[in-house]
Amino acid sequence: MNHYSRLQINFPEKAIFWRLGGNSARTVLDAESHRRFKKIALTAFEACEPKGRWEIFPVKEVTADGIYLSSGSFIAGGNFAAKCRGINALWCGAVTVGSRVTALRDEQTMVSAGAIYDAVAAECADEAADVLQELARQELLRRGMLLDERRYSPGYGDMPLEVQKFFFSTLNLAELAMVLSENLYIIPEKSVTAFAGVKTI
Amino acid sequence: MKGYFMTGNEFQEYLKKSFMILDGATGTELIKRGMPSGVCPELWVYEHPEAICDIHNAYIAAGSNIVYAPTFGGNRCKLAEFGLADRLGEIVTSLVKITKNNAGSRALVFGDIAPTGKFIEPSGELDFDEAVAIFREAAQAMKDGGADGFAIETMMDLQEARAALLGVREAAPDLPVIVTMTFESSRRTLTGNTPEAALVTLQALGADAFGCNCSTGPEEMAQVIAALKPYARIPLIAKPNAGLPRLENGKTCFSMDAKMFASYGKILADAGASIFGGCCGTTPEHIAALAGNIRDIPFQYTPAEYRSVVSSASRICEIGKKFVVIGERINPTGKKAFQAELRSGSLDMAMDFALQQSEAGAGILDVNVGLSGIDEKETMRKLVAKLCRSTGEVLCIDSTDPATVEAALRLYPGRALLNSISAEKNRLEKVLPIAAKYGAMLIALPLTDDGIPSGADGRMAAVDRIIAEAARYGYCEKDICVDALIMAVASDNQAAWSALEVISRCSERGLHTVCGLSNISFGLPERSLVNRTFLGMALGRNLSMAIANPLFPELMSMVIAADSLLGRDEKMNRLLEFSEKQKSGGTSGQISSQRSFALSPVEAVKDAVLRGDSDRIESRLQAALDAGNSPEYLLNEVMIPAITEVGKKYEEKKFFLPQLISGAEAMSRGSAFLEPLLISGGSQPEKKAKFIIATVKGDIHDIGKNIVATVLKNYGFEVIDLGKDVPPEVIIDRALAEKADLIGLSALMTTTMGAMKDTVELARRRGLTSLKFIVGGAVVDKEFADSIGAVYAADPMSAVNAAEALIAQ
Repeated sequence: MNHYSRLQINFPEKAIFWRLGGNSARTVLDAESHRRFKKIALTAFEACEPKGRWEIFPVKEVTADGIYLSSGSFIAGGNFAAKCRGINALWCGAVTVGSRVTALRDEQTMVSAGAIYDAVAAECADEAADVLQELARQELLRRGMLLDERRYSPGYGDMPLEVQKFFFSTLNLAELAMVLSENLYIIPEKSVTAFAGVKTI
Repeated sequence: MKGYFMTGNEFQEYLKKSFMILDGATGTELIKRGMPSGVCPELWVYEHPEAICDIHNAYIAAGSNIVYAPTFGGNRCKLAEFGLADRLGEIVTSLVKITKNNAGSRALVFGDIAPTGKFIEPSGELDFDEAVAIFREAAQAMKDGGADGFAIETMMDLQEARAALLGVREAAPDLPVIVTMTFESSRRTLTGNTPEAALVTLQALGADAFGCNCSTGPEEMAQVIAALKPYARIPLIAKPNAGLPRLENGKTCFSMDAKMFASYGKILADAGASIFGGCCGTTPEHIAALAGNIRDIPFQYTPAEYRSVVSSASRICEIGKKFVVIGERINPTGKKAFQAELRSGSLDMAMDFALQQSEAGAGILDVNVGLSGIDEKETMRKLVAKLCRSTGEVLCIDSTDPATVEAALRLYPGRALLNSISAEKNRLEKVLPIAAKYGAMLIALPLTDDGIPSGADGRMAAVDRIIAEAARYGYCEKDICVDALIMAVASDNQAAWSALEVISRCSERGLHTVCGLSNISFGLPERSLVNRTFLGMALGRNLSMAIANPLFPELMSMVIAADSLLGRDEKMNRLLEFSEKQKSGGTSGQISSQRSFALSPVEAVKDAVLRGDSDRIESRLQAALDAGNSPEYLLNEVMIPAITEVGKKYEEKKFFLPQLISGAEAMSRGSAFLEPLLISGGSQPEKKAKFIIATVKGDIHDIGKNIVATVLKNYGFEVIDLGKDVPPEVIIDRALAEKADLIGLSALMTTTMGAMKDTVELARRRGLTSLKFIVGGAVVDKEFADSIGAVYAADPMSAVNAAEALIAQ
């Protein structure tokens, strides 16, 4: 298991701005508004505690409905499987930015600040997933394997949310203080789980 | 060169005369020789030494002058993943011995040092000193095995590369150390370091050569090497992959065969590399072909012209290229509120100062936390860490305490400017070695143990003494910036002349200069005018930097104009950009504040809503009321048109979401302020409709719902917010009890969208056929909304528009 109890991420200012409806060509921020936005966003960024882990699992067969792993597990999702033809292994990664940032978001008395906290947490989770995947890509390249840049998450396309259970059991996400609710949402809220295909070079 | 001991200096001298060839990929070659997946490579090689000997023999035969011992993961953190941390000394030392015995006199053997797999402070979890200790331990084991030098490679984080270099230097101060980092196609490392910032930092810290390995093929790497060349005083290394992986006949392979890979040798050499090798996908054939091509290239080593450059982890600041304002605000002297904050342990105000100065155009931020009653060293360390995590600014460490200076320079992930070294014996003996260890650039303060020399001659003599002492630690004049030591003209009417004379003399010698600008006007009226006038005189004598307050627009505009006049603003781009900003309303906080003070009371109310200024709306309303405006007029003719304008700007994407919500918050606060006056005047505003809003059962995400509720309130709706995870029965019961006109439902999960349908159906079953539903949330779309008989709203303003359309029906 490749575990990172603290992932280093860059402050994704542009992505946060975009997520909040900003348009680089049209949106006008006076200096005072920009400073206010950036200060709140940086405070939220400081509250993020990105961590993650990944592992690869040998693939037995890729079918039209999903992917059979050598371990016997089946990952449902035809759309994803269609993109995975020829893979030798499946990369499974999970990241979270922790619950501190969302707790602080919920404590904000100004909704505008809460919205910024929310956007920062969401974008930092994405950024953490990018970092985790890149770390894995470099590690796997040294092992003679190529990790696909695209990643797929449960709930998107035809991959059912039930697949979250696979992540929680195989990656033991309780060790990242992550919990899967009855409704299959992840706590902490700003977390990402994802698959990507791995081919041997 | 082969087979004998070389110090770092000898290594550098050798590299001035010849190209050098490193080895190629090791991991994939070990796999070819039977190393199974999932094992600890270091242990496997330890148990199968013939494999690495075979690989190295092939690389040496191919032309490698240096081979890397198989110690890539030979640090405590990586070995611990296999439960082998306690065997580090045994394994790593043996691996180097095996490699040395095999290579004999045919090639040098460098200990291979790679990342720990952990991120290091200030952005990561691993304590910096602990990281240094981890690398020191590994380097010591390699030295014990007889390593000829060290190759710190595949670094993705400049801070980890710094820790590794310091660790190696502490274990083996005399042996050569080369450093390569991995830059993505974005030309940054994964953690955001630029090649130039990494080079400037590590070169100053004592690396013998610097460059890139892995991640990209030679074509992209040549571009990185070319970007490094203007700043490289040490040889540059290119160790690329064999192109990029691609699919060929159903198999994934690297895109470059040996011949094509080798063809980039000349391109890399032309870009500035003089040390070559290969990384992922390369084989002994690739190295043989590369070495063959390199042999045909005439050797020419021309180190870059010496530049005075400081850096953060992500950018550089070149002194002398354009005038640099060092932001002076992060300094508690004379700032009671900041002093109180520092004493309370808060660094918020320091962050504010950093952001303000950075936005106003400061090139470097001075950081001074010298204050009685606080732990200066610890406060400095925390502040440097915070600034590095949150901003990419270059820092100037400003302290008289050697321990504070060392703590800051050790942690700072770049090449800092140090304020300052004086000619006082104590400073030279205690602070200069610390500055040199971390490669900091120096501000030289012409102050001696006898005090401040009164004239320029005495000050230049003090400067010469500092330069001579610094030279003993490897500094040259370009690493030093002379403080002109400005004194107040109020107490000495020749003070300006003395400082100007020092600036002139330094300029004639090619020395950079700096001054603490505001000192000149201390005790005088019209300080800003005096400061600017002095700056103009100093700029005419080629002053390089000023420690000043960049929040004064007049000062910053003067600097931009001066750079244009002195030929430091190529094509006048900065002047043109400045002119555009002036036309569009200015850029600094002071400009915008001044503008609002010039507004009439009514305009100021409108301005507060447009800017979302909740803190000022009440005082501005009071001022408008005092000026004779009625509360009805202020609400209906000023605030409502203002919030409508905010909504329009949001829809046109001229405002982003926080501006829309802030406007609504300011409006809300202003309305609450006016409400008692409106009621007492008998004109309480009517609500448009009653709107119940909730996040549906099973869903706990409510930020979107809260935003919609805030905005709706300010468009005249009476909003009843039921919160999150609300069952259909609760929503419908409340709708009946309140005689609601509209219901808004939010959901973020596909698994909870069904509760929206359940709620709508429950309403219909209970006969509430005229009740209208608006739905929204990340997973909701128009198709789904239509299917359950609701109206879809993509964002807060869509919800307002939908609600207004529905009540108009």
